[in-house]
Amino acid sequence: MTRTDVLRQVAVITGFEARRKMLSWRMFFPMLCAVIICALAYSTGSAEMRGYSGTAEMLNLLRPFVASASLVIAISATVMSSESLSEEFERGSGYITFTKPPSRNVLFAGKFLSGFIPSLIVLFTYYAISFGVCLVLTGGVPGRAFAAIPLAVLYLLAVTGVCLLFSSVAPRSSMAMMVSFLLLVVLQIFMLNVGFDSEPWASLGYQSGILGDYVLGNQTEYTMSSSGSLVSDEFEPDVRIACAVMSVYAVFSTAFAAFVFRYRNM
Amino acid sequence: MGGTLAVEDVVKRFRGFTAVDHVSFTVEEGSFTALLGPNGSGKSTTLKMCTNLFQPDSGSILVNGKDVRECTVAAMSGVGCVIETPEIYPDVTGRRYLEYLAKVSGMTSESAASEAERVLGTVGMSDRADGKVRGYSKGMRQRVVLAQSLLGDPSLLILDEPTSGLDPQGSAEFGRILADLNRQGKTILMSSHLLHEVEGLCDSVVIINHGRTAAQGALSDIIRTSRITVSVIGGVSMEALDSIRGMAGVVEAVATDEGLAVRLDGGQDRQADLIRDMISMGFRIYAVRKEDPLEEAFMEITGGDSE
Repeated sequence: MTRTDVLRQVAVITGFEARRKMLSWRMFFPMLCAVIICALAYSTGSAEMRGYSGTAEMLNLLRPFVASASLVIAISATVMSSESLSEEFERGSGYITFTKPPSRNVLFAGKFLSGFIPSLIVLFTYYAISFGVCLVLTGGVPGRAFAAIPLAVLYLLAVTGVCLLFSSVAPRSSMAMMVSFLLLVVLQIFMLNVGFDSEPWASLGYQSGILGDYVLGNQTEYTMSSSGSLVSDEFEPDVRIACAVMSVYAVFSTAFAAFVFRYRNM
Repeated sequence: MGGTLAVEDVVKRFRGFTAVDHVSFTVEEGSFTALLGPNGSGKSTTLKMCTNLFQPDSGSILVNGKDVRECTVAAMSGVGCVIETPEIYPDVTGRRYLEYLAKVSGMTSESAASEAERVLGTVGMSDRADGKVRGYSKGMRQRVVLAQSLLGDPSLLILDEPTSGLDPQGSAEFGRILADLNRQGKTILMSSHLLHEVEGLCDSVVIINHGRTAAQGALSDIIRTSRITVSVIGGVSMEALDSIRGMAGVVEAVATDEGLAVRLDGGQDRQADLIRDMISMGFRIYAVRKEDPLEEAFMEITGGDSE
């Protein structure tokens, strides 16, 4: 089988699976969440920014929008990807799918893309609404805001990989979706609102804060302690570390999910 | 045309339990072979290894001369499968699902559409394939599952209880479809619990018991005897019973409340000869019931393990 044949198979699988998702509640629900979160972000005082121009005002308006982007991405990835692999085993459709020419690696690639691409559409829609509101109310969008998009895509890759990981090992699709939702969405909301004193720097939830912090220019501020060392009361994610952590999550969770999917028995 | 399967000395173990223990059999081109065995005998595991769903721990499986494990794509390209009771995605139409499977198998969009239409016609689903699968009956879903196995016109069909869950009418219709496919030259390997259904379709049998090949061969070789029950008016005297026991081809004759039960060394010809001879002896026969010879042979070979 040539590389062209393999790519063609991936494209067919991606198209079929993505179409299934986009014509179902799986597309409607994250889009609805994106719109609702935008509306909530707008309601936190964005209208007061009308007529004001200047980077500071723009960033102030965008603050609730960019801070909530990771939540929208996590919801979308959970809905789109957490059932992708487990349904083949739970439903038994794998008895047909796995006896057809595409290898399990090709199937995995197609299922990965079929979850990633619709989530990417949700992500772009969310940012389009956010930037649109900023443009209408303040007459512009700060250039720094657009830098959030590649960071958001990297975060999406990471959470998609994590969702596929749960999907590859879960005996039931509902369990995979529930675990993904609890760890990627509920836990993130909890950590944001309860406000623990510390959160592991290696956690994906902590590093997802870079989506807002990088746009807003938030950085960890250090002071000199009496002993001569640099200390800080509040740590903010560093963009380089955030990119590294999200990349590690994306690569290792996706690779492990692909491995399990390849060797799991029906 | 192709369509041969050679299973040689295959072993499969699960956590210390040997599900398939050095099973060997062949399926000849153009044959309709039944794979029989009690529950838990290893039939499904064997079929899953033939379709690359499981990897054997040892042994080899050749489809059209190609090793399933080493040349998977080439070996499986001429095979259509129905394994277990797969569920089709409920949110697509049957037609779209078949077109998708045809396209991932290498067909263009146009040829996939025409191929889907062809196989839908074969299984009698052309008019009903444009609705979502979630609205299909059990029989309709099974037809679509069978249809997907026919995509690409494979030379070998491997079917694991394809009529499971169907009503008698559905099973009969399925049997007719399979018989037609076999007459067209397709090789079929089918496992089933319904021995009477298999007997009417297959010409070869492989019996697996406790993970081992218990018997294999032509159906006529497996079914060495047949049994009929003859109901007569007035009963059977001891002298008449002795006469019948002495007739050619009679292996065993036992008097019953309604007449007698006879085991014959042969099939329909022997049965017809017996009935003719009994009538000439003056018996007034009002009913003849044929017992399932394959079930008899199966019970004898497997030692009575239940299906």
